[in-house]
Amino acid sequence: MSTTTTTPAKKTISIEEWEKKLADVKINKQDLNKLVMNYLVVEGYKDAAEQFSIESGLAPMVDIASIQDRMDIRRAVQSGNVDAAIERVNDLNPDILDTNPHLFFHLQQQRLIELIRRGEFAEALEFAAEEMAPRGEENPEFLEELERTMALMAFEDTRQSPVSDLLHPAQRQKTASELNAAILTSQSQEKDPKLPSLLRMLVWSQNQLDEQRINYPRIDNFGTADLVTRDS
Amino acid sequence: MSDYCIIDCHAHIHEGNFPASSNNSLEVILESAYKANVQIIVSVSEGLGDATQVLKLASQSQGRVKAGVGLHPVQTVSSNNESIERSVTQDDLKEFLPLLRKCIANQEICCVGEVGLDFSPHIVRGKEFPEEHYREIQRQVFKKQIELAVDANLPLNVHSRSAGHYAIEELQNAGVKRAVLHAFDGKASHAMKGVESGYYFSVPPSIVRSPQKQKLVATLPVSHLLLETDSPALGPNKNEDNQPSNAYVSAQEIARLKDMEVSEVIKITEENARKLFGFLMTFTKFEDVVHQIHSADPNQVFIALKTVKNSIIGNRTKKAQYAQSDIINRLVDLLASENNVSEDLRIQAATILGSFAHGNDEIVSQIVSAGAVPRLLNALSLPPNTSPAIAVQQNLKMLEAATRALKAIYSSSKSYKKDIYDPKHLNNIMKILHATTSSISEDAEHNAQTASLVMVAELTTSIVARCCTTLEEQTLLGDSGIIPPLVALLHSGYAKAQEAAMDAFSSLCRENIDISRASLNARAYPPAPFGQMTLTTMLDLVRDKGQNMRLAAATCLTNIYRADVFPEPFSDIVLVVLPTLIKLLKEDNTQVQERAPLIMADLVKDSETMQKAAFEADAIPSLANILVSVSKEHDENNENKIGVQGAGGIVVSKEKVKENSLIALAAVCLLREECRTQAINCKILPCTVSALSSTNPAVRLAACQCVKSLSRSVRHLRTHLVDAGVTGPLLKLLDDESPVVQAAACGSLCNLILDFSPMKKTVIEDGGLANFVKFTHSENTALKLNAIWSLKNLLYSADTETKRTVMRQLSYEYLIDLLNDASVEIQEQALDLVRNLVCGKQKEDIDDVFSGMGETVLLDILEKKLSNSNMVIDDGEDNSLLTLEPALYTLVNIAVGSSQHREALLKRPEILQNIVRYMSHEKASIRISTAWCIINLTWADSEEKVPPECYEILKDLGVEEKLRAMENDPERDVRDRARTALCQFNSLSDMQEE
Repeated sequence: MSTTTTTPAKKTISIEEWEKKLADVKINKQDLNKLVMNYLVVEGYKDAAEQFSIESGLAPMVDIASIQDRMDIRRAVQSGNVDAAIERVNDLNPDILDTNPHLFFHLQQQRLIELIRRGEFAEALEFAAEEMAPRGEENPEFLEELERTMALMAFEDTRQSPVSDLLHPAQRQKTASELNAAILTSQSQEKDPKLPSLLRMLVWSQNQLDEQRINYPRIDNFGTADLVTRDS
Repeated sequence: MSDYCIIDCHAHIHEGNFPASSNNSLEVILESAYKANVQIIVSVSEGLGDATQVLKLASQSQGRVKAGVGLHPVQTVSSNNESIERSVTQDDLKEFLPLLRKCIANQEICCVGEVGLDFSPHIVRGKEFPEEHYREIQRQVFKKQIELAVDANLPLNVHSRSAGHYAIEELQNAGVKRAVLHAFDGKASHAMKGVESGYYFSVPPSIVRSPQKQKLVATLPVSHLLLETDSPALGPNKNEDNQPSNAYVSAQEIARLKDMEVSEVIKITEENARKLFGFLMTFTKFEDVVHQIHSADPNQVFIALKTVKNSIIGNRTKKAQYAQSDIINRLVDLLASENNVSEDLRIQAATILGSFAHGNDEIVSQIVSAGAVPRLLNALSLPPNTSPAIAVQQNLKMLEAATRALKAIYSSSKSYKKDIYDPKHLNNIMKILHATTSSISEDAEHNAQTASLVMVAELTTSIVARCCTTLEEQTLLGDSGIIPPLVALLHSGYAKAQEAAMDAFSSLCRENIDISRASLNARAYPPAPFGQMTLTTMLDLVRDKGQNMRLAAATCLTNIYRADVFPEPFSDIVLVVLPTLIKLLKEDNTQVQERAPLIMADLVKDSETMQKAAFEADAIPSLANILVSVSKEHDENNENKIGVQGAGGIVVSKEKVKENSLIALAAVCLLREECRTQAINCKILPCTVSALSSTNPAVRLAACQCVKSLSRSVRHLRTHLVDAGVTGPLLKLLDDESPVVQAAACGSLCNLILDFSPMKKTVIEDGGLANFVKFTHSENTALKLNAIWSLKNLLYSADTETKRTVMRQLSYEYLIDLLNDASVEIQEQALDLVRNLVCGKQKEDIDDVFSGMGETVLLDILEKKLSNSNMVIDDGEDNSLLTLEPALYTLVNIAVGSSQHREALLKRPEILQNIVRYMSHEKASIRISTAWCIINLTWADSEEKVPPECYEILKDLGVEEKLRAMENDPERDVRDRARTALCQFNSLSDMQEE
């Protein structure tokens, strides 16, 4: 009874008002371009970055060739060629794997997964015992993950097994992304593009406004970014 | 026979060649291959037709058959129910490529093959077009497939009938590194060219009937031979179908030709095959690599180096394994400039040394004693006749590898860090720093070298950060002009380089006010951001997104703060650095959790202001949280016995986190009661007590320090600390293997036994006393001092029985020695001990000491301490003041005694004169003690009378005048005591007059 009386009247902001406020914010075109370039570079869209650099007159923030390296390595992991990826990373900067035990373990784990995927069980066992078990001794977390991976071999039909996720392309993707992030960090680059966090911030802000029970022109579809008002 | 593994590197094993209906079905030949220890068969295709069958078999073979897919230069087609062979066409290629691409993308094949050239007359001569037409098309088809293989990093399985020379040429022109030439029929001299390029030659069983092949094998090194069967072709008997089990025949023949054991041939060819195809090495590759690395052939060495590099990076076990061979010496040899080793090899050698240095301290010691450091430093020299900027660019890869290795080596405590101060090396380092920092800040354009330049700048800076420890080194680096490039790097915008610059500033500024000032006030060169002051940038970076950056910046600013350059009220530190550190404490990152508490400890130690600020900013709960959580996890692990305890990196770093959070808690709780209360409320006591019994001496030490800080609070001491059971573990630590821990345990017990009699009893009974007495004889000064300190505290307000027990063990003779010890600190504690002995309501306590030491001896000692001291507080060497106060208070306590004790004092004019002299001492506490002497000497009650001569003696010494002067003392306490003393003195005078 008392709560209803304390609820403030619902505030409404009209589209016109909103547009006017938006128009008041000056955004430098160059900054927007940088945002796009940042996304292209971090995500490794080399050709697009090159093209965008020509069109926008904006120099990419890094050497384009380094994007290629990174993408080659990423592709190698994603296609299951972990050895090649490791060799490339070590050529690029040997400190990356020497100073990131988690990443190194995950690459080894991916190697093991690929061996099992190819049905090379004898080699998988050997590899696990010789290369991976010592890592497990160093870190109990690793041991657990190793055991989980080895469990793959116990199932006739791995797709029905509780560890089937390891054979899923998403697992390769995960390993590849972890490696990509480590390479970016080693090159003093941000490991995540700025654009998605801006979008997250937008969602958060809209949620805040919703909690305040304010009616305002919102963006529901990020593809079109149309401003729409919700009827209450 | 069962422990070897034959690899058939070239065969055509598929359903089409070995139909199920025949005697030689797939099942049969695979079974017999298996029995003959042919464990891996590389089955290659000739075209679309057999490729799918090969792939199918490989996918069902559990890794025993590896597929190779390629388009053969000769295609068999059926025409009018007749198979005819013809040269490959562009159309064949077009049709074939999609499959090959798909196989590569899906990682279905171990090599591209069978591909190559076949210039046999019946294939290329007398056809529709001139011979060269077919040859050219074959070349194009070959080239295209080479290209795909190189891109996919796959080896090639090459056919070269009547075209050996040409095939090798094509491979070389395309830069192919991995290839096998199967059943090579060209000249041995051509084959040797292939060997030079690292190609392998596979030998079929038909060698037994081919003098040409025998001649070839005799010429080629076994390190480049492989076994094959080409099944169903090229068998040992002309008209019989061949099969993989016959690979043994090839091995036998090679063994005969090379005069080797067959097993040796099998082993070597297996290793060769594994190398070529990248099959996982399941057997002892290690010895071979170590052997190969000593080869005279640079190509061999290069391949071995690559193998070593990729085995040891990230892998501690492999590092330790390889380090046990003499590989490190070899690497250092390769680095020597006089050995005329190619740049490529030197770079690899430096890189591998760097990776080894990430292993453990023992490996670093090995690297250092092998003489790697000077070699690596020499690799930093730039050619004299080129500008440094260009020279750096030309030598970038070498510089990167060498600085990376040096950084890793210098990160260990086992390395000797003075070498960089050799003028030659220091000069090189400065040149590199200047050249790299100016070229990365000047050109905003990024080119292919920028990343490397940044890396070299970062690594070089890290070297400086790790090698700068003493004041001299700081000064030397400062004078060499280190600050401007560091400032430039700090403003470069490259996070890694900025962190390195911050680390270097931390080392340079530690306890160095001049360099701290110079660094803070340095400005970035334009056009770096606004030419702002370094301090502003550092404060910005404390608020950076990256944890490592925040940590580096906080460390740096803490060191600068401790160098005493910031003005009070230190708002930058309190409002920016401290909150950052506290936030960092909450990060779930072991590395950060390990370092942040230490910086916190540095920041707050010895400063009540900072301890208060830390309390107000809620640092203590965060520190306590870390301690509690690492203690818990560790215990759980112990219970479950996961992994091997103590050996692993994680366990080690958790220990470090525990140690450092205890150190931080000790520092933050040192001076303020509210801090101690909060820490105890955060439940740190159980963890601290269990840390006292840790297996790690550093943790035990830190726990002692923490207990000591907490025990400064009498309230907590009597309740929480005793309840938590600190006494037992501390007493046990008196027997610790490390004297440092023993001393710290002594120090912690000091507070516990002061003024709290149940504890005194426990300590005496549980062996504490015996240990304290033992330690008073220790060679270790800290331990000796803390032991006497503990005894002193044990005697504080103790009963007569306790005092006697202690002195029975310590002995008065040794106490006299201690009173005359060379160290003034020891004398001070010994005097305090006497002071506590003679203190108390029991007059017999004084009698005990008088008779134990001898009255004269005691008073002589006291007299000496009094006459040695000066009237003024001296900042200089003389710290005799330390002994003056306890000596005076000993006298105060003796004067409380019976009339005989007072008479004894009154018989010592020297002592009395000194007391009177010190009545005008500069220090108030001394003046008070003298007043107490007079009060006690002149005190009268029903039991004890003042000795009659007292008044006269004191009067003659001018006590009255002195006391009157003291009535106007600036200190209230002194005035009060003086008044009391004067009052009693005057009543003596009245008595005299009566």
